[in-house]
Amino acid sequence: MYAPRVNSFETWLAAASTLIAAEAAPPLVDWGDTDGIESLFAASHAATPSASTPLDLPESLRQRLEEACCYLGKERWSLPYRVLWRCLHDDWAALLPGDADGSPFARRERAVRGAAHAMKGFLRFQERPTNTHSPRFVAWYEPPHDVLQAVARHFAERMGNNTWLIATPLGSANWDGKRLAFGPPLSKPAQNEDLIEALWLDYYRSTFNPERLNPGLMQAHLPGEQQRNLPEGRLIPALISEAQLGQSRQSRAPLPSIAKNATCANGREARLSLGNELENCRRCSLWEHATYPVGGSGPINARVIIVGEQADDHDDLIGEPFSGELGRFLESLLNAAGVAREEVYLTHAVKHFRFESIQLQRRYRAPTPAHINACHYWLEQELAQVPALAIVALGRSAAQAVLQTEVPLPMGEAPLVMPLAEKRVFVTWHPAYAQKTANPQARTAAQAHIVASLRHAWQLATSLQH
Amino acid sequence: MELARKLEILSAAAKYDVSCSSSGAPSRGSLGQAGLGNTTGMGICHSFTPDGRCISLLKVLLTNFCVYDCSYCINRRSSDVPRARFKAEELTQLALDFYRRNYIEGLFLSSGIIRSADYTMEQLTRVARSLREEHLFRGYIHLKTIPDADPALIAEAGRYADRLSVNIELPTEASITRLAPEKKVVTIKRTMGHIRSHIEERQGERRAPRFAPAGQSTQMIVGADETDDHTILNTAETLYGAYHLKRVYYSAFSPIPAASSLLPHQAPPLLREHRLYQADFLVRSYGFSIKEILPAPGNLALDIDPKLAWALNNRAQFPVNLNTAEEWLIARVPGIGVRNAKRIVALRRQRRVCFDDLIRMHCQMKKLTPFIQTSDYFPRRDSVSSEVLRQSMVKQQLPLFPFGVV
Repeated sequence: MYAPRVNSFETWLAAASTLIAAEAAPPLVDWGDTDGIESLFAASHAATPSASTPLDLPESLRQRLEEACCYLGKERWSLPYRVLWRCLHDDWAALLPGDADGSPFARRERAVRGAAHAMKGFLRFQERPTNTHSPRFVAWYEPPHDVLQAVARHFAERMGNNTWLIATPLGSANWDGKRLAFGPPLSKPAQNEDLIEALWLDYYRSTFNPERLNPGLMQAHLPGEQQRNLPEGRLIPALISEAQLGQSRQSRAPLPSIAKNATCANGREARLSLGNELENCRRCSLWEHATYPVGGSGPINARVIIVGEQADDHDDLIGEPFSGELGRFLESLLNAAGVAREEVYLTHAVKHFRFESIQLQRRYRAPTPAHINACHYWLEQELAQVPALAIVALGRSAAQAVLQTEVPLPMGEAPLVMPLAEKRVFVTWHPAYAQKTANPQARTAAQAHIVASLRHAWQLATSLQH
Repeated sequence: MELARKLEILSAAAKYDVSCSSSGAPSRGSLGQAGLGNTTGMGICHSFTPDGRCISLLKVLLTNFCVYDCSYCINRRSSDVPRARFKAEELTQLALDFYRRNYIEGLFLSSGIIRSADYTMEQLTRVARSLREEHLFRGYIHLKTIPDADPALIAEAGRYADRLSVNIELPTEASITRLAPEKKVVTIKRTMGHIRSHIEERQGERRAPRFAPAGQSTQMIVGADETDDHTILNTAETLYGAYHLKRVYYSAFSPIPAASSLLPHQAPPLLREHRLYQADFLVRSYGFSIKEILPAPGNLALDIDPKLAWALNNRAQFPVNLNTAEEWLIARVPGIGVRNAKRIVALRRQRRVCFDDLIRMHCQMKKLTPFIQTSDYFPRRDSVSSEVLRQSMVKQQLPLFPFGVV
């Protein structure tokens, strides 16, 4: 039988290392922690086997053991030793929450983490008059577990070079502006109310919404013992009873007449060639979930019009066609064709982005003929306003929209040219297809086809206009 | 006016904004440095009020003077409430004093619209800038963004704030037109779009100036109009997708003093708000789609939670064998959460999962038994009708306990 007595994680780990080396199975070790009291006051000089080399543990296991050892209660040291013993004998289920040891072990880790988190939130500093000695801020707190060390590091990060002292029944932590030092337990400092605390109480009273009174929910988050430690705790009973009274005589006065013609700060908007009308388009349902309708952009006297399928995610956010990644890709194709982006008129067959929400992401969906037809009203106006004789339709939807008929996609390398009154429509692939389709040969062919179509369209337009 | 009185007026005016989260900020601290404050990414609640909500931030308006007349808002132009305005220095001092005493994690600052959107946004940004640059404050700052403000002002606000938010206010355009005549859905959405673009620029370019690292959120008022949960959730889903919001907050319409006659006379049950949060949570963390949770127009069931409702409507998916099913499917079992689903999968790598393991993991046993199989538990399939199950479950539903208080 072994009877080590330890009082901190470090001493526990040293003792555990020795015991493991001596192959002392958990039932043979009495840590003196069966009733959960002596663990607080255990003296480290008690009988332990002679020291051996400390265990070399994986860091994650070491951290978990250290956290669980902060737990104050029955079997404070025995349970972590059992878990450690089993892990070192390759029984890693000991760490799983479904396991007979793993379950209480995980609960302890949670309790310790919860206690540290609560202390970070519910500890209150009092400010001492600046003319007295440091520390300037002092706090008293009674954590249910041994979390002072972890929490003190948090406050060292938080308080900058303000000096402070945190006292607990188990020990104290002191920050002098440069170093963190741990010391013996200190007694509770005297409470003194001050102006800022009075303001805090004002704030607490006013930010509470009596219409939503739910004391049970508050209680679940802020149990009675925490309430007692907080300056605002003493306001709670009165706030609850006032709210209960108030609920029964809640009344609603009639509305004073609403003044019309308020200043509506709504300056920056619509720089679309199609004007405000497009802004308010309700020709199909796509407007409802859109940010912007995306009208065309480019010179009104452009020689070539390029028609894409529909606004994409990025276009929708800023209201410009081909504004995102796809736009950059199209620009590279235009460059390859020797055409400057600024000289062509770019637009989409469908002005709003059609998508579906999958896993909280907007995923592209192809527009239906109904969307294309509804939006043709706008495309028609653009084709009439921009007197270009060459139109490049990118993809099937664009071609359908421009030509108002079912069009086959191009086969082979030669540009596919269709007449539209005196204009010529070059039907080619959509750049998204040319960029993303899986087959690399199809990708290259489609890119080449788009470039050739753009080049021919540009040549045709410039030759006709000369 | 006395500072205490201003604080009283301007915090009472801000309490209808439900978000008080201080999470999602990057890790930073002030160890041994001039200045003050740290953030770790995890929010910290510093107190709870008797409405069950946490206080994490000093949540105030800069002023409750407002030129708008939104009928659901207590600060609307035509409302007969006392008005006040903080001086920027007063507010920064107050925030720092509260912070040093560990009352708060930071500041949540909003404002009524005074003079113009741009002017108001400038005033808000000034406070944030002063906290960051003059006082070297490294705690959390949440700034409300004024929808019509100049994008350059929003870009500046994003440099100082951890989180920006623009409230969508109401779930449909028709309701906004009726109840908030000066606001427009498109401008609200466009502002969200700007913020998303800024955040993404920052992600693509490490040297770009810092921009709202804790992302953006929004708030929707529930029950001030006739909109059903189906529409509300679809609007939320769209907003999440389009603007990559961190959170949509649902705020059950809270009757305000001297309310407009356009508003309903009764507050919606807080339970409805709670069910919306549950549904929202299922979408964000469990991979449910709104279509699955609420396939047709209407409201969520109030008597049972949306996950149980889904399971009862999809009995063909059950029972789920916990020793073979995929993790995402296990997480869809009523009474088993994401965390326990992970644990079950980890455990079964070691050995077969049995019924008692679930008890040890503190799963909600009464809820889950009709829906699972383990190595030692095989319920008869479909022996009890969903309607009967539902009746028995209703009695066991947990008391009101909203998600996401931090």
